[in-house]
Amino acid sequence: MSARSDAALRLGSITKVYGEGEAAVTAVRDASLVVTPGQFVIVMGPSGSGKTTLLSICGALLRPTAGQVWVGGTDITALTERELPGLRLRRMGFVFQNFNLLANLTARENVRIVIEANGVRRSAADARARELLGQLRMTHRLDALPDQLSGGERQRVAIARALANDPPLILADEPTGNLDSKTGYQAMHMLELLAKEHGKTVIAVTHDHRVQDVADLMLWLEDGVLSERPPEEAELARDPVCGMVINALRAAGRRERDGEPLSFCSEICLERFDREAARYPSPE
Amino acid sequence: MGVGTSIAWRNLARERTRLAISAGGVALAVMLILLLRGLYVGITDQATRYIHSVGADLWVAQDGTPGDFFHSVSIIPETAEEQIQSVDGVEEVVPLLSLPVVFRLGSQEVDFRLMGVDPVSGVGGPPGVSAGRRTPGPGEIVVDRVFADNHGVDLGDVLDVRGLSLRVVGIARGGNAVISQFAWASLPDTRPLLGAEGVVNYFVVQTGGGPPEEVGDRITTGVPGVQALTEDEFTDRNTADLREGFLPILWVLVVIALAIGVAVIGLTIYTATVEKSREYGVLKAVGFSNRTLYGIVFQQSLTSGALGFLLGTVLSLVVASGVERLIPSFATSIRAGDVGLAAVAALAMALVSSFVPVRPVARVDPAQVFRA
Ligand SMILES: Nc1ncnc2c1ncn2[C@@H]1O[C@H](COP(=O)(O)OP(=O)(O)OP(=O)(O)O)[C@@H](O)[C@H]1O
Ligand SMILES: [Mg+2]
Repeated sequence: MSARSDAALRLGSITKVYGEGEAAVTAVRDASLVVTPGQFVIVMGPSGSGKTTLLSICGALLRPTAGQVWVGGTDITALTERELPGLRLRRMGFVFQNFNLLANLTARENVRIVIEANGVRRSAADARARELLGQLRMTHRLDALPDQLSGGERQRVAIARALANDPPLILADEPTGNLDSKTGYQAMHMLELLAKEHGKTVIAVTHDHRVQDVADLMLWLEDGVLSERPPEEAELARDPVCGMVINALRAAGRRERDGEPLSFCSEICLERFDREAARYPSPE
Repeated sequence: MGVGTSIAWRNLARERTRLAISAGGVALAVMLILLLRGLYVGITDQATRYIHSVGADLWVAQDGTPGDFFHSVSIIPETAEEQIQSVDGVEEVVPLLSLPVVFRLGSQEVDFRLMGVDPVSGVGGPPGVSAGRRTPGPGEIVVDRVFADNHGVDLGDVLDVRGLSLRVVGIARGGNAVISQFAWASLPDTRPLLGAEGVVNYFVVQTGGGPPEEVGDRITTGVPGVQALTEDEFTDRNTADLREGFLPILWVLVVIALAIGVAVIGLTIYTATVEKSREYGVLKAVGFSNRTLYGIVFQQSLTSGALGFLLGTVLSLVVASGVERLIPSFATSIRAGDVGLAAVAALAMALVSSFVPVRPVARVDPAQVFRA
């Protein structure tokens, strides 16, 4: 077997440009990556750096402008539009920040329909949905509608749905973004468990720098450029505009002045700096 | 019954107002179709009940006239009776007078179509009576129930019909031809009103063995100045007005009803789909094909259509029987064929309207689901 089919996911020089001409935005630049089966990968980076774009490309939801994506041994950029839904149904599971459950369906039905869509009979699909929800400790809430569930419970239903057809690859975009920190860690550990105990390949985007210890691979995305480690260790930096002390890894953006890296707490400070850099002396 | 069915059912069950609106729209359209058709059939039935009740194999009228009761004066010499009788296959020939009569009844001017029937055989008499006798003898008349109700006429009353004193001996049923009513007197009594001797208006013919059409052809070709019509042909000619005047309007209304049904389901299913476009995006993202999603939309509109059809049919039957009880002359008759037509119409409404949200479904971008 070639290295290509050994990899759970492989990106070959991916570039994604939104729009055209003057309005063109390059969200991902020439990103390459190999993820082996069972790895738990965490992607971090400032807002707007292209994380969601990258994840959408891995999940066959978005076609890259250039480059190739292999999932298992399949070059998914070579597939037709008609072939993609089936690929997503069987080979991928998605977990979203806002859960995205169907509002009119119960927890169990939300999971069941995805199994049924893969051609499984209703009774068998229902049994599997129960089993999955049971594994996620949701047995007592099988017939609840999403708006009767807490955020953490909804995310567990969403994870059960992602596992519905036992896909090798799980993609999660800020799965903890709408959860409090305790529930958020719980969700992260569930994803970790999927990788470590069930051999799933998990790629999760998060803003939470504390989860990096559980990851097999930490990726840093900035201005669409993918690298394997953050520019610096997680250290504190002072925003030169507002003077706030922030974690450099969670900065909304970065600039460089006289070879010295600058971190900004938010887009607002970044904009102010870009407009009138001279007003803001480098922090001591 | 795929995975789309359960999603469609859940959406409908949890959004009942929406289902009620779309099913209600279809129900109204179905009611419009059924009641209009029912009214048409009912009126046609009434208009032809008398003809059917006579049970003649052939109606012989003057040649070269439309042949019906209402548009023509059919004049045939009495001598034709023997000629018709001698045609091969003819068993019985009975003359009939038929003339519109306007006369004063108390202070008002009233009218009916007076049939002069053979007092011996009673052929051509009323379809049935609700009171009194069926066959009028000399100096007697049978009037229709609707005429009697409208003008306060009762058994034993004496009507002065253009100088002729006729005593009411029967109140008939089934003699309401919608715009006018039939009345029956004996043929000799009626003749002075016709004002001509030696002629009659129709001959009613019974044939023996063989198809009546063939006997009719022989009469038409063999007896000069007459045409023989089968019962179907004669009924047809008597309802031509209704067909030509009422049916086109009816079809226009049916088409409008269809369009309204399509618009109502189409609009509700469209807004439902657009409101749910995020969910459709999620389903696409997790791997549902466009076809499955169209299936969800189609099953929702199909269910609305089916429910609307049932509701509309039941309501139509209720309304029709209610109206008939209130106004007996206002006959509606809802036939199985028309219920079938309404079912096809409801199906068509569901089918057409399910195409309305095809574009928004196709346009949903699954990549959007990662964006809050
Ligand atoms: N559909 C689109 N059309 C045009 N530009 C887009 C589109 N989607 C994203 N972008 C741009 O591409 C860049 C990367 O966006 P992306 O959503 O991938 O970033 P992100 O890292 O996920 O941000 P966040 O952390 O805020 O979710 C941004 O500048 C964004 O404005
Ligand atoms: Mg994002």
